[in-house]
Amino acid sequence: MVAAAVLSLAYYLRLPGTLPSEADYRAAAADIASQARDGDAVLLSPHWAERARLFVTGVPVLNLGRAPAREDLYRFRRIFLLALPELPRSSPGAEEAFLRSIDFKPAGPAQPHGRLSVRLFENPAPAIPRFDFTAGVADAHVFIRRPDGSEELCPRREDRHPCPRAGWIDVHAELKEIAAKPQRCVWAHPAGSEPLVIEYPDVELGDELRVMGGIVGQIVYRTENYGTVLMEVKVDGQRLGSMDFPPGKPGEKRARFDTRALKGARHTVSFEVSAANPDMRHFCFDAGAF
Amino acid sequence: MSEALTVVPAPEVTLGDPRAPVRGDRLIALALAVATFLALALTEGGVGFPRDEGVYFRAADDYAAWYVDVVEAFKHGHPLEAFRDAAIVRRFENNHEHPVLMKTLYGLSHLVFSEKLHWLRDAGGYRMPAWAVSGLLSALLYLMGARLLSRRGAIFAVLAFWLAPRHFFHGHLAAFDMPIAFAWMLVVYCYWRSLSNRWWAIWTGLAFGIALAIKHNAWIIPGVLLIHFALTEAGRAWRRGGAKAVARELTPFGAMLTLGPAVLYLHWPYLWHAPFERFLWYVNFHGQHINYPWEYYGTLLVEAPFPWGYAFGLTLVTVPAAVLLLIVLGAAREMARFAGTYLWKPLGAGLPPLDGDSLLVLGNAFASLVVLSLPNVPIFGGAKHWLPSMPFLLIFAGRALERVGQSLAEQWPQIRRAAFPAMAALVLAPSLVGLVHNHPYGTSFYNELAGGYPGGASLGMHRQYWSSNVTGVLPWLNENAPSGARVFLHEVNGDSFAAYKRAGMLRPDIQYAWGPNDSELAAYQYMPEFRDVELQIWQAYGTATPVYGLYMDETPQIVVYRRPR
Repeated sequence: MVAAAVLSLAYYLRLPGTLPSEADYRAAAADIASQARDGDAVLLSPHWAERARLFVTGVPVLNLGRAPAREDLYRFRRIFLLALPELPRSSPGAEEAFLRSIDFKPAGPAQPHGRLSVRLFENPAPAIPRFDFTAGVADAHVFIRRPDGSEELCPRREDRHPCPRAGWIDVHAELKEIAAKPQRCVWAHPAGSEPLVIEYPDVELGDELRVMGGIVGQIVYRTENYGTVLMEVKVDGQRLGSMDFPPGKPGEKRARFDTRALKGARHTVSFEVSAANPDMRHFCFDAGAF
Repeated sequence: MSEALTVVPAPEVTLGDPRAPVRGDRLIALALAVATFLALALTEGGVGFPRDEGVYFRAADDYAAWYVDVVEAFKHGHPLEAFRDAAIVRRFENNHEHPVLMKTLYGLSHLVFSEKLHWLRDAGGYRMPAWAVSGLLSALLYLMGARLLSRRGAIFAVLAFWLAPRHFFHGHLAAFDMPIAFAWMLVVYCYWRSLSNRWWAIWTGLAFGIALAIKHNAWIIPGVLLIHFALTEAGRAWRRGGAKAVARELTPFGAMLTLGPAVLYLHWPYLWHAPFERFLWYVNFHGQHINYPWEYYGTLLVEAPFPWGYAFGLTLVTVPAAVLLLIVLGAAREMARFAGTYLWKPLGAGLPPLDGDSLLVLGNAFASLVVLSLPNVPIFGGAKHWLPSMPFLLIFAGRALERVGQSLAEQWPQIRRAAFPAMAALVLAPSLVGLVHNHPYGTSFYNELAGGYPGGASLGMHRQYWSSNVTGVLPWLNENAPSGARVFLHEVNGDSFAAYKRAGMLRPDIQYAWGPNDSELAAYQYMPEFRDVELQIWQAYGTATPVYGLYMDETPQIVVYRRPR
């Protein structure tokens, strides 16, 4: 008991010495700014330590939550790991191990800045899509396919495709939270059993189509009265594959579809989103041709 | 009486009633009550207005207005006018998912002390009755602890209770969580007194009525007391006088059964004209209450089933560690005594059998914790929902500390007198430091075992709730918001927003914005289920760079964004 009390007091006495100062942040931010290039990002350790956003500008600052994935980082050429190593329960080694596990290589030792440290990691094989479906959604052809096969158009208005049927069926690119991570994705709220079709003409395909999707926000956790979202991926009208997003299953879902047979030529790629019960199916997806 | 009395000599005991306070006890209890009241009153200024509290402020105004209606109706010679259902519903329809005792007190207190006398600021007027019942909780805990433990042990229990940052925070609020902890203690105290003085049976019934009139946690209390009765008093009474004696000993339950519902009905005008229909609506509301998301050891809990033992898992990281250790030591010993007495003797080897009073404390120490640990009970709100357990657990903590003090005194007789106070001070010192470090952000507190706020965040614990931490950025907003700015305060609802203005904590010209899109400043309150709101702000403002924030030991709590011009 004496030990518990003394250790508790020691915790509070030691705490101020583990916290970075504003000067530490400014020094770390200046270090990052002096080296930053296009294609860089800052990854935080621990992931929630977003006070850094106040100081680090010009480079995306990533909080990938508790479940970062390789796919969250594969587009970045370099990652600055900004760590607060002395905080209670801090474990910068875990983030470093994650970066190494996805083939990022340290470009040098960690640079201390007071209670902060910055370490640069390089991605030897960044994966940049030859076609980014989220970035290109403004030019897509968007409609709801009626049961008789006719198209109910969602005409383009600036960079969006609002469907006349309902205000929330408004296809556009947006930053959305899926599984606690920010994802730039195509907002594609289903209209019901009739598929919402987002069609991209003239897409040059590569080896594969990589697709990520999920239900946005906390509604993903709830199961009562909600339905499953189905997304079919088609090339030139032929079904390439599909993904489903049932209620109560949080997290982003990813799939890769083999397109080697279609490589090099231009095709029409469509994503068809439907749900028998579309209530509160805040669906968003991102895709790239690689 | 309690086994602990054989260890620690109690002060002189009143002849005839071993549970009654002895000379000096009432004075100490009063001093503790006043000290608690003053501590809360003097530190109230910085405590934000949680979402629910803003709603209760408005309901309190409505309910108090009904009493004004009654007076006015009498003055105008139409005394029955205010008692018609339409007149009652007009005032009591708002927030009728809770009984109205505390909200009525909040409203009347505000009317008298803030509006008429101008003794208290706006929020203080509402909150004052909460500080008063918090003071009474201290007094009751002392009075019960002094008899079951020792005077100094009881004082330790009171201090340990209020130095826990989450308890201290909830003591300030015009809500129901600390009042129901008080009412629970009151019912148990009255029942306990009734075991040696039958007149207290009536007080037990009235106390249960008060508990029912505060919050539905009260529904659990009779079950806990019945178990105690069945295991202790029933057998004794049967041996003494058969069924008649048992029936006589059941008087407190008869009083609870009759006076409890009567008090509930009489205090709540909304029930008067449609008692069954409206009472059943109230019961159904809580029987089907939706759960709000809650982050717990890295998992966002949204729907049942929730993890078994949730309340224990959260208590482990929200009660200051040194006090927690004493609770664990104290409660483990009593549980071993229970097992040895009622289940299998070897389990309590070396320990005296569990006496009836200790069994009563044990049952009430675990009732709320166990109920909130069942997988189908909604878990939102966290530790505030099992506050009624904590005073009883701290009686056991006091006993554990007494044993530590006694063993030190045996080892070093020269420090016999100083051993207990020194150990108590050592145990409470980190609690005090933690409280000073944390106040007024009680919903964010995590203990030394968790690693404080940073450790809690890394463990994946709910970082805050109820929106009250927004007070951490209000001074900045007052200083930096343009004149007439529309400000989105995220989880702060319209009632709390208005309360901040009335309290002078938010500039009067600042306007309420419903979302990021119609705002020029936004204060996002980090909670995992609302992460998308922060992204909406980024999207609307075109920037992910904040301009200010409340970062508690680096953990983002409230993050302020400004729309670039």
